[in-house]
Amino acid sequence: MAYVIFGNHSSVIVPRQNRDSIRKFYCDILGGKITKEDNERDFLRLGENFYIGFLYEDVPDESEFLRTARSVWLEIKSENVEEMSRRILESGLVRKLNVPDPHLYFQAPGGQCMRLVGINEDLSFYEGAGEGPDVAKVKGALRNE
Amino acid sequence: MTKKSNQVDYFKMGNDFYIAALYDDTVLSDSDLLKSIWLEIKATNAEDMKRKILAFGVKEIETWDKAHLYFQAPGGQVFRLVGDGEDLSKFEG
Repeated sequence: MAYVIFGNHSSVIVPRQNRDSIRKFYCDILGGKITKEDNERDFLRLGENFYIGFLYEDVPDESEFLRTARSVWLEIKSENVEEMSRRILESGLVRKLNVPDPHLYFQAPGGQCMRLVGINEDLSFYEGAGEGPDVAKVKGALRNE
Repeated sequence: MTKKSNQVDYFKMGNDFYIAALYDDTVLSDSDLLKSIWLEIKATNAEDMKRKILAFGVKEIETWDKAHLYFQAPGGQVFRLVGDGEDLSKFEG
């Protein structure tokens, strides 16, 4: 029996100048909705019930640090991975990450790194089943980002 | 833990959330680790869980939200602890 489970609310402080690109990417490309906004923050909902609070401040761009995978990377799911991959890359708003894995890894505006997978895809590879990702190769690739 | 090795451990949280922790020798400052996205965990008994977490010895993070525990777990990830079933609409806009 689990003691805790993950919740559906997250937050991150991002540079104020990234606000437009964050909104365009998370809303126009990923289909998110802004549920509330004020001068300092946006509450954004992805899918039915996952919320990200973007807190805008005059902070430095930490994209380089966030690409190192020293901060947690998230996974997003789509019913149509091919179409969503195309939309994400053609938006011009992301940086594609060269991770040795069949999925699209990218850095979104604001710096969050993500992996795109299919909704019904077998992802046991990332859950401890079988060989799992080649960690040495992944680390090597990240050092080159 | 669903799998472990010298380089990576796979943790299953709840029914269907997985974290892969990749181990490395480099060290980051606490301030670096605060730059990442903060996540939320839910407990059926948040008060009891809060006591356990603090007794373990995590670093508590001071925020405007005095109603919840914010802490930095080993490895640096920052979490907010909430109660399962709690009204969290204030974090939804």
